[in-house]
Amino acid sequence: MTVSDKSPKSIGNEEAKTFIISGNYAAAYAAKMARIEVVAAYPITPSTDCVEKVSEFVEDGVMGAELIKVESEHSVAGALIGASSTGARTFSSTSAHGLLYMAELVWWAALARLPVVMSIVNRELAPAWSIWAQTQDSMSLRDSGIIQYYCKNAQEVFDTLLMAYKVSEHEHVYMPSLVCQDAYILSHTNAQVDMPAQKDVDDFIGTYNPKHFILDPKNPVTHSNLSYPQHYRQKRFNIMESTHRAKQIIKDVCADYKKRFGRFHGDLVDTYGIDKKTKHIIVSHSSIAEEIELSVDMLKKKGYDAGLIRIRVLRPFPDEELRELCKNIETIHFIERAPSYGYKGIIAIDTMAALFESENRPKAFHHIEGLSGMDVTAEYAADLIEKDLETLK
Amino acid sequence: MTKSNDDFKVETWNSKPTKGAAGKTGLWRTFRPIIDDDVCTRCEICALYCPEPCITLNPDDPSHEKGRMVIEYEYCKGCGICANECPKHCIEMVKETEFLVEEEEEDK
Ligand code: SF4
Ligand code: SF4
Repeated sequence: MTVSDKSPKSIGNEEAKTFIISGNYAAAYAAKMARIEVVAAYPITPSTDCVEKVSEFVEDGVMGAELIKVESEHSVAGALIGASSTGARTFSSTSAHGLLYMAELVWWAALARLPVVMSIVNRELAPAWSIWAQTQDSMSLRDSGIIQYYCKNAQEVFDTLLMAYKVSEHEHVYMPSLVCQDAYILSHTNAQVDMPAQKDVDDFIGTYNPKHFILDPKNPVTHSNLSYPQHYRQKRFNIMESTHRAKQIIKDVCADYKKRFGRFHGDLVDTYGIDKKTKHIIVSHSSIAEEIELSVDMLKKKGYDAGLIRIRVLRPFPDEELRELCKNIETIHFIERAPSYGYKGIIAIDTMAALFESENRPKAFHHIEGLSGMDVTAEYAADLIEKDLETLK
Repeated sequence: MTKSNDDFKVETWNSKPTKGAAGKTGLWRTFRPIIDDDVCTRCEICALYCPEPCITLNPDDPSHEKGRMVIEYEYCKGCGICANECPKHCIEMVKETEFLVEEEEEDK
């Protein structure tokens, strides 16, 4: 249901089809197939291709969305907040400074409970200017309540965007989502992306029917007016409850997606090579994690019982899943792109806090690698782990 | 799929217009608008501009053929916009302390 009653007329493929496209295009196709109603965009490298493709779809008449051209990223988020408040399904894509420029309104979208979904191309922050991959841009927004997914390849970007709408628009969630991919490594690298038929996507994703609130001229309300301290506790705890509930909802949506389309990239976490014998777990994220799958194979060949956990969803954080996966291991090795300056890697901080509540607290090794898109090869990562383990001998 | 099989609901801040939604704003006032009824033409410009809005025309007042402008002091916050907009300059903003002296004298 939309207030405008304008039925979105996006045209997807009638049959399932395989494309060879970039991560940016994968996101644009997902937006089209999700029948987005409002897109607002301001270009920034390396996410520009995505909104360029979306505007091409709109121009060609194959996507029924309203495309709002604005003067900055701050206004992008403002436009999406307004549109989402009227019950429209919304989309945009941005990166690095663009995302931080809209940071104030990312918080607004989250605290206003609006299921805006954006494709984020993770890029290193300036100074000095860089255009390559680093995940601090989105990870630094982790406390806002926004749901964050980190993808390892273009196929996962496509699938996760569709799933993100389903999760964000769930009546117990109503929170925005960021679906993140690494700059260039995914955003500009062509890879295989399988897309389902449009009617199957329609069946899966449904329409957005907000039950919590809607801006409607026929029934005027003031949304988020001045409120007194005694009202905050209940409303803020309601956000805590929703974001905690989102964990199970993400798992259910991923399972449903697998049943319908045969693809599963993990839910809150993705694992590789973990079994009962696993003693050494590497924790990583994004495209680095896909490379580290090869490191796990190398380490196993050398006789190490290694395995990999890829943090797929940073918020809500998969604490229980990590405790379960790590309950019998000896060492845990973090390889991540994003530090929290003054402490450790962002994923390490959260993971260590989760394991503090566990009976088993493995010895931890911290590695910040791949800053500004530096290549982290499988050999290099395997070598890091071997050196970690040698220090214990 | 997760069904809504419990009564959890997402809550947002939605308010509908109601009298005095922000409390008794009259308590904020340091200057009180006083209309000089003899000069006032009952043009209602002040009523149009009052942000609260707490000036209205009482059409039944016999003081003038159109009635009389009435200010609801419980909610008038003393912003002075009415006095500024009045084309006749017949609204005077008077310090609340002056009324305090009057009221104290009345009490004696
Ligand atoms: S604006 Fe002045 S003249 Fe007009 S109604 Fe108000 S007080 Fe009277
Ligand atoms: S002082 Fe302000 S609030 Fe009071 S009557 Fe005049 S315009 Fe309205």
